[in-house]
Amino acid sequence: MASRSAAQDPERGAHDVSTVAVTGVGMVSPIGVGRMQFWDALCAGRSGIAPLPGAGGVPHLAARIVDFSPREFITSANLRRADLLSRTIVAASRMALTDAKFAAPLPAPERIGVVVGSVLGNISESVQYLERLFTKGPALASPLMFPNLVPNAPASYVAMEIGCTGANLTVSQGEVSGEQAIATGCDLIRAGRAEVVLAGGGDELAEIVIAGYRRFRALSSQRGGAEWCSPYDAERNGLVLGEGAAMLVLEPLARARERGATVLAEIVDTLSCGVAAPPYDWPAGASAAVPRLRRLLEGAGVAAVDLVCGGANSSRRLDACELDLVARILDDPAAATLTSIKGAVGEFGAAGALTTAAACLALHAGAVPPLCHLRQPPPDAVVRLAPRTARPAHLRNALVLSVARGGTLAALLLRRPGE
Amino acid sequence: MRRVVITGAGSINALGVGVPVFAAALRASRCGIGALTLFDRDGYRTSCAAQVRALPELAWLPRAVARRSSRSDRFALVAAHEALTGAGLWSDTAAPVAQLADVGVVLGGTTGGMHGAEEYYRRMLLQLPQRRRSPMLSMLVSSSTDLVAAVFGCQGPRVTLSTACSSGANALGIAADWIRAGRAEVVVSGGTDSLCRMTFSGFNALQALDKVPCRPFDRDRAGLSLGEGAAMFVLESAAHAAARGVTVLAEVLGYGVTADAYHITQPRPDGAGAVMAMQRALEDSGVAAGEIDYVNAHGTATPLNDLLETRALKTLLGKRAFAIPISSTKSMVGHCLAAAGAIEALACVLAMQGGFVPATATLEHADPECDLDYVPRVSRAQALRTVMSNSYGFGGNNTSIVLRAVS
Repeated sequence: MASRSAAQDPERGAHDVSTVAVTGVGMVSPIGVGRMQFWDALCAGRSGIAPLPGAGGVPHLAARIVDFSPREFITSANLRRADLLSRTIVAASRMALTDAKFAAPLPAPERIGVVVGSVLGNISESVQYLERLFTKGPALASPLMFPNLVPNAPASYVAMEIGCTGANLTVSQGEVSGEQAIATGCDLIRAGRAEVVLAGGGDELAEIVIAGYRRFRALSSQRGGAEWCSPYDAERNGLVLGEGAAMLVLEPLARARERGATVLAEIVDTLSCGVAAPPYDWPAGASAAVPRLRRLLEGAGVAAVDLVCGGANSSRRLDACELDLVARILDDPAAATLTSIKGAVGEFGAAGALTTAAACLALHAGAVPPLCHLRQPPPDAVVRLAPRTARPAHLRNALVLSVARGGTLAALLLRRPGE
Repeated sequence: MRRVVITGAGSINALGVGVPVFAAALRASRCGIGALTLFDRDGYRTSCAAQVRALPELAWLPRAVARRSSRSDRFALVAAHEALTGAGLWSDTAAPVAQLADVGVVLGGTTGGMHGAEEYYRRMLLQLPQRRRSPMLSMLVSSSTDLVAAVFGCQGPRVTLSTACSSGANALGIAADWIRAGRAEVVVSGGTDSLCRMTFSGFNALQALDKVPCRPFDRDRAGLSLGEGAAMFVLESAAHAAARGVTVLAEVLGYGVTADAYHITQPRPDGAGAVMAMQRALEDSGVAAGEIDYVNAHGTATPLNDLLETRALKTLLGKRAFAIPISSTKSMVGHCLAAAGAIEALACVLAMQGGFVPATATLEHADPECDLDYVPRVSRAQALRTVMSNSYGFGGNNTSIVLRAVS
């Protein structure tokens, strides 16, 4: 699918832009804030899923962000009125930039782009805003809250905080919003539209989100069994909701090498495609994507995939679809290890950004992120599932793969630098 | 560099349904802004809006989709159906062409299914009986993109851009980039948005709505008129279009997108972000500023936007800013938010095809500070070769796109 037409055009930029490097990551997650906390907790098999007091005092499981103070990361007075999701994404951006260790001066502000993925955006204030509108009338609708409800508020606040005036985009594509934002960031670099891109995404947990998923009986235990979250498990019974944000620093590999940056991972290529799905549901299978995914691997010269980081969230349908896909796109599925971080952080729209960050860290550290709650691998699984605690492994590459309700598939092919 | 052409277009807005209806109304400088009837208007500063009056029956739409789709979804489906049919890729009677399986979909959206979702929430809040099944799923902004892909069997790359009022323009830009990079040969792209209480009350609270139909660049302008609708295009690589032997409507030369990094609602006073977006669009297009024959302005009719956009155009174009026509078609279709960029790109295509400059239909009184040629009241016959359309969004998002007529 990918073409190098832009990359081969010398007028589009000073560097070879065909390969994109990830040189920094920042995150706010239920298992920790920042790269070190997040990665250590993930490798230790710690889960951020815990009982949450729910409506009517009935506790249910959810993965909330804990011990996070956005104030530590935000300097601009312009963000005084920013909503919590925006602040969370801005904080993740700050951490990612710090992690990327740009020596002063930073790249020119107009050459820094931002791409944020989010499914529901500032849903908590959207509900508050509507409640006020419908109970107090239009005259009392809040002019201060309204601007924060636009889906691109977080990306705009990132630009204001960092001072970057380059391309600024927000994408929303169900559960692949995070992956799509990062892929769009790569496209901006390859097209010469930006030299450095902050890309990722985030979503927040609100009562209305829980109520929505409950109504569609998508939450764990709603169709029987105990409430838990164990992606790919034979006894998985629905998802547990979470929240969080992750942002990555992307730049052309040649540029990263030139400035002596630590390259966590290279993004070799990306894929987005559609598969037939019932309206608003996950597809039962994704056969249409198999040849496209195979071409992605062949085009990159990848004969064997070492690690697959899926979007599986412990739902019957999505996890089965992923297990089937992985078995069909790899020549030797048993040589690959499949994992998902949702058992640790829960499901939230743009969780794919956090999954991609985890995949980068896995390649960098040489360790397979665990499936922390796995008890019973499905009997027919041909791919190896990650164990319950991190396992050291020589990982040459990783495939981030996810499918959204509505039938959008996104994949990012990552490589350990030098492989 | 692979060239990107437009081979199909579809339209629905307050002026009517279908591209021919829109083209005729644009030429006639007809204002589609009128009384809002979609929801209760009590308590608002105005009852003016550019509402779509009649949604056509969609006999070709599968019932399961028709039942669950939102107003924005149906706008997108109507326009995509017209665009794909016009491009020779869809027929209601024949089997779908094989090429559809590789077609990509990139839409711009902002409110998605909010019109239905907010009513559901209102009834929940006020403990009123619910009218229909939950519209919570079709609330997602990507719902329209997924439904267009599902209904027409497009399984190529897919994404939804949501950058407020520049969403439609950015969607066209990303679609063009995909074709240039070889990610797809054909992409359905555009923008869709429906009126809803959330945005109507929000702009009302910001005192950004005019009491009468909006008057872009007018001395007495007092804010925008919200609108709704969709415009969709079939974008295609020039080589692919030539091989199919399909009629080309116009060419997408390039685009530019920047951020103000200044304020969540206010544009940068120096207009630097808007100027840079236009410059980037020109560079991306390989076009000199002197080649631009017409600018379809963002022209929301807020006092600040029109003044700053005028200044930005003068900065970019110098003396030429006074020599070329500049107009705001929002004077006829209102501000359709995420659909605006796509609707205005379509206005540009129709202007180039028809050899006329669309008017700023409601401009009556010249503003001494807005002293360019805004084509007041009536459209004007004029051949156009290269045109630019500006779209600016909340958060300080600036996008400009450059289109060229078929030679």
